[in-house]
Amino acid sequence: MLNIQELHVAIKDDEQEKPILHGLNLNIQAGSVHAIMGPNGSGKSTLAHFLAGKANYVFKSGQVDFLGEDLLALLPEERAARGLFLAFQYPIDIPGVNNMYFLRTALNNVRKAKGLHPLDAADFLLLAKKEMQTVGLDQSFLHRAVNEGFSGGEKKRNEVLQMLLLQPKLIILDETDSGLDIDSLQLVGRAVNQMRDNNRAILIVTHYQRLLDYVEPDVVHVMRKGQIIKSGDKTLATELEAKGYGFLS
Amino acid sequence: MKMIAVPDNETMTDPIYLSPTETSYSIVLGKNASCCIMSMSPAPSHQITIEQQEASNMQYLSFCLGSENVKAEINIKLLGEHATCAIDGLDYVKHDKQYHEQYINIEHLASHTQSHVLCKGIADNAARSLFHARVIVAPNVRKIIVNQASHHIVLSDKAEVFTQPQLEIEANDINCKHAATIGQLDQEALFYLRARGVPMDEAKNILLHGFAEEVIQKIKWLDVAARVREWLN
Repeated sequence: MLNIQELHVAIKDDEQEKPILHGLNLNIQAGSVHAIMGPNGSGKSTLAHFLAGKANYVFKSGQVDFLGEDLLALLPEERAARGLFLAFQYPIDIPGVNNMYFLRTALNNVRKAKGLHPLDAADFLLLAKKEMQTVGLDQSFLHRAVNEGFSGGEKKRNEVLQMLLLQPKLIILDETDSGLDIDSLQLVGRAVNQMRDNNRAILIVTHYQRLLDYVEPDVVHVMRKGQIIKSGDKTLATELEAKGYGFLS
Repeated sequence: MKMIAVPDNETMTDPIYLSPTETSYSIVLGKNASCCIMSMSPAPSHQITIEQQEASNMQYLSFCLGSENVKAEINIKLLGEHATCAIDGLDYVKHDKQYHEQYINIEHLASHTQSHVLCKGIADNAARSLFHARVIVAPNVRKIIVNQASHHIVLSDKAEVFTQPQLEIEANDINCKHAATIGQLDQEALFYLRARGVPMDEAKNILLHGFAEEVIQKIKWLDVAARVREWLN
């Protein structure tokens, strides 16, 4: 589904370029759950944002193939329409924009790309209410401005709600577990597990093993200094949690 | 000049709409009087003087979204204690050579008076707008509250926005808040929308509506608010 080869990416910081990803390779098959773990500054979030199409990165070299297409030739909205979804580590507040309007606009754009008819307000509401129950968000959140005044946990649940509504093919969860209490973590874990199927892949970017206790990964990668330095099965996550990243050096 | 007097203790249920042909107004609010003045398609150049007596309450709403050049001057005198005024405005210039000028002068001449100004503006293409707000607090008045905020979004390299907040305060006992920003659309929010599949132009439009919404929500009349939202499209 996603095949990354020798990816080099820098970040623009003032007028200077700082290399972040140094020849990263990653291959994710449909039906699998991958986790990327690594210390702060290893480039995990850069990878997640770069794949979603954020502008302030500089592509240097390499290849990223997503479902047979050159991902890097696509605009962020085209990537989303093809089924790529990034759950943001820090979801953005959008004052003055109603959450329900935002969610329905997003869904209808993605539906349009799939050749499906748009959902009217009533049909959307039925669907949204059902999925809000899954993530444990009260319906009142539909009538508030996008993420404005939401707690950290509520923002993360709103991200997961978007994932459930948009039904993407590749789900990238960027530190979705950070700032979540145990109950929220369980709800999020359940929602993500509900998305697991043979046609979909999930990439969990995280510092900790917490979410991986609920969503068992098929492959765990360790990232350091912009490269994947070790890959293994789920026991690698347990080992990291016990010994820290130091044991790999 | 058109003269309007709102008698003591009267609350006007409907807004006073500025006429497209009247260029000068003098409006007086008596004690405990309350009214809303709505400027939606006023004369291209107009001047308004508002005098407020004790405990009167005035809301001035301005939605300047048309295509003409506009020059508006609003002078408010808070003469009686506990008089309160709120000026909320949304200004949109988008055509080359289009120019909107707004001058707001508020004089706090009695104690316990309040003024609240929230003006938002959007400038596109080679259009220009000027926002000048001056608040004067007389000496020897007490317990004054002044809030002044102006926020502008500039959508093109050629558009120009001038904002000149001015506070002339000769009293000590006042609570004053002031904010002025000029910038682009929030790039993080734009990316967030696009990452959810919303195309660039639609995403920009959503953010502009969101920006304007804070002012639109000040309108108590839902049909009028709906009309303003339509205008924005």
